[in-house]
Amino acid sequence: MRNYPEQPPLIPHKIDSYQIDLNANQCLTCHSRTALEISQAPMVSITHFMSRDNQFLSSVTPRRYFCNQCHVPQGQTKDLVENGFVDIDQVLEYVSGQEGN
Amino acid sequence: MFGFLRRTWGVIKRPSVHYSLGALTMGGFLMGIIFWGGFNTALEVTNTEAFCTSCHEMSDNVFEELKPTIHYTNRSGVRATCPDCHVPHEWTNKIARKMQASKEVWGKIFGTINTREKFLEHRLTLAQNEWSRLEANDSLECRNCHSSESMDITRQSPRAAEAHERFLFTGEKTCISCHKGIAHELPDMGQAALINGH
Repeated sequence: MRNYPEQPPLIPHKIDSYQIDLNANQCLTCHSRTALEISQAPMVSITHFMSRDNQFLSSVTPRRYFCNQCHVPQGQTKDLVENGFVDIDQVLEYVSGQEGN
Repeated sequence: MFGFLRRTWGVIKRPSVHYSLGALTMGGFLMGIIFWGGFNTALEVTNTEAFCTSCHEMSDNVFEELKPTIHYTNRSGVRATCPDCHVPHEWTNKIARKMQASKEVWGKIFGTINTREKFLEHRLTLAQNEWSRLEANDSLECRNCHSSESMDITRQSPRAAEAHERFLFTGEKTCISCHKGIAHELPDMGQAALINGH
C-alpha cells in the first residue's frame, strides 16, 4: 500500500552495491522495458519515459535515470527522527469526526 | 651455427667418459628437483594478490574497486584473491593462461593502460575478455567455490531462488551471464550492448 498517492513504490529487495552511474544502471538490467520478458520484473512506470519536453522516449528519460533518488529499499528499521505522518484517509476521518461534534 | 649444433649433438650422443652413471643420474635428479621446484615457486609467486597489485595499473584501478565488495571484505573473513577468479586452478589451463599473460607483460612494458584515462578507454575490452572467458568455461572460477549442488535456495531471497531455479539449475545461463560487475565496476554497458548487437 502507498502511504500517499504520489509515493514512489518501495524496493522490496536489497540493492547493496547496485551500480547506477554513467556506465551502467543495474536496476534497469531487470526493470527496463526490454528486459521484462526474461526477468519478469515490474517495468519502470511509463511516466518515466517522458522527457522534460513532454516527448515519450523508448526508454527511461535521463531525468528519471537515478532510481534511488526517489525509490528506497523497504526495511523494518527504527525511525531516525520522530515522525508524526498520518495519511490522507486518517486526516479525512479526523475532520469528519470534528464536524460531527 | 649449423656446425655448432652438430658438435653439441656429437657431445650429447657420446657416452660419458669421466662421470659415473650414478653421478649423472643423481645429478640429473637433483637438478630436476631444483629446476622444477624453482619453476613452480616462481609460478606461484605470480599467482598472488601481492604480485598482481604490485603494478599501479592494478592497485589503483581494479584493486581499489574490489576492496568494498563482498569478495574482499565480509562477515566471515574469507577472501577471494585475484588469481582465484582470474587464473584457472587446474595445471594445464593455468599454464595456458600464464602464456596468454605474456600479452599483459607487453602491455605493462609499453604502458597500454598506465594512466587512469587509458585504463578507462580499454576497460570495456578488458571486461569483455574476462566475460567471454568465463562464459566459455561455464564460470569455472566462480564454481570453484560456489557449487550449485551445495546451494540451499530455501536460504536465499525469493528473488534469487527463483532466478537460480529458472536459469542456473536448467543450465540456460552461467554465473557470469547475470553476475557482472560484482567485484569491479562495470564499463559502459550501453556501448557493450551495441557491440554485442542487442
